[in-house]
Amino acid sequence: MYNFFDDFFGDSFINDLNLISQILSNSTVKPCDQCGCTYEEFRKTGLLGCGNCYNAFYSEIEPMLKEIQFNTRHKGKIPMRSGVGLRKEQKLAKLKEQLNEAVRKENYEEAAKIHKSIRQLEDEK
Amino acid sequence: MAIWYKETQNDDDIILSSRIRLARNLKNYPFITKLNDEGREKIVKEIKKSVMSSNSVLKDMFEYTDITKTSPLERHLLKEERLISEDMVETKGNAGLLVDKDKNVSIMICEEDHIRLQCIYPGLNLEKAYDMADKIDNVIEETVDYAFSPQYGYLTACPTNVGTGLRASVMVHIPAINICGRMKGLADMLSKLGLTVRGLFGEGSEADGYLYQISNQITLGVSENEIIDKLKNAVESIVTMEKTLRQELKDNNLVAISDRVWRSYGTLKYAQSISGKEAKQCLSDCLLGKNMGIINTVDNINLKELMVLSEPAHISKAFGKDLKPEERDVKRAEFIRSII
Repeated sequence: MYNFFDDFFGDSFINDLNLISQILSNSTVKPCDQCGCTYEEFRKTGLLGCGNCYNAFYSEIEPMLKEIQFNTRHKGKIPMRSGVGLRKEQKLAKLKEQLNEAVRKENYEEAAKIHKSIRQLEDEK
Repeated sequence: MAIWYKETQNDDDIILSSRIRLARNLKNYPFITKLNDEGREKIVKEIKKSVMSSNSVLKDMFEYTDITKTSPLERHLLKEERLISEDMVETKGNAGLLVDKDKNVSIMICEEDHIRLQCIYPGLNLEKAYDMADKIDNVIEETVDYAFSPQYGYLTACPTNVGTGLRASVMVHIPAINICGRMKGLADMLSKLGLTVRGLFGEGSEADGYLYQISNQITLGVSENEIIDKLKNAVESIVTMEKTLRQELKDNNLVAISDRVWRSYGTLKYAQSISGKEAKQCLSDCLLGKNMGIINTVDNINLKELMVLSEPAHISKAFGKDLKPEERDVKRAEFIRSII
């Protein structure tokens, strides 16, 4: 089975080994209150016990994700049925990005159009 | 579309297949490591139902296999066709598999994640494979709640898959890059792009027959389209590199490369015992020779298919029994001689 700790140690992009060994030797982390997975178990197998482990081990997982994924914020697909609100937020964020870009380029006609789209989307229930 | 190794329309021997894999977990259950057998059974039922009882046309596409009821040989056959993973071959708990009739799509239930949905097409077809995987993902999600976080995206057992849960990979046959000693440089270049190169069966597997999988390493903070575009561009560069090096081999080392190809052909045609590794190596040489115009005696043979049919479980199946490795090598040689 793939253990991402191998990658975590083995890859050349790791700059701060001290930080990593400090994180890995952290034995004071509380187990996940939903599945009982301990941080030690996660360390050994590279596998989390449930979705809540991402919250339970937040302080440890955040720096790990920065190292292995270079990012800590999802940008891709949102579930069709359960993610309606989130999808709207994502669409709004994208439009606002486009609006800033249009303003930066002094393309005010385009900016007005985008602004209108943002207002329409915000008014949707 | 035909299963990846049976495709004969596309004569290109460099890009063999494109694969999209989505990892998903159900919201109201622990992940696999904390799941008991009862929980596994419920998940298998729930996911099977979400596909087989859906209103979508997809429901008629799939056939269900209860993995717990399969023999080790059957599991290895599925692995050699790349329909299940090594983890699923070894699984001891409840697990299920949905495969479509053309064997382009497989849904592993209770692998490392609750759902491992994969779609494989011949050639460079990443977008098409993603479209299909995306459709099936949406069908499953109509009746199932996924473990999803606004910050981290689709939550997976291993944080290396979190976010999109997407592993896109392309299987490439790159003998010239190997022969010319450029593999390390290629691996370094891919690593800088957030991509990785692995053996045929994924993590930790060997790259017999110069077959490699190029795939994305990063799954979080990038969109599915960005992952696919980046991989596609990298693969196109690899194809150009492989073609350039093949031309260089032809221009500067024609005798050496021809000798290698014809020796491999000789081995396949006359060997009385051959290991899986050597067979794949020789078949790879012939595939290279065929596409470089060095050898024409294998024109009507699907060498890609022969690579799969020479795998251990396929040989055992063809001869109707579980064979010891040394018996299998003899039968493999016999089987290959009957075709070459």
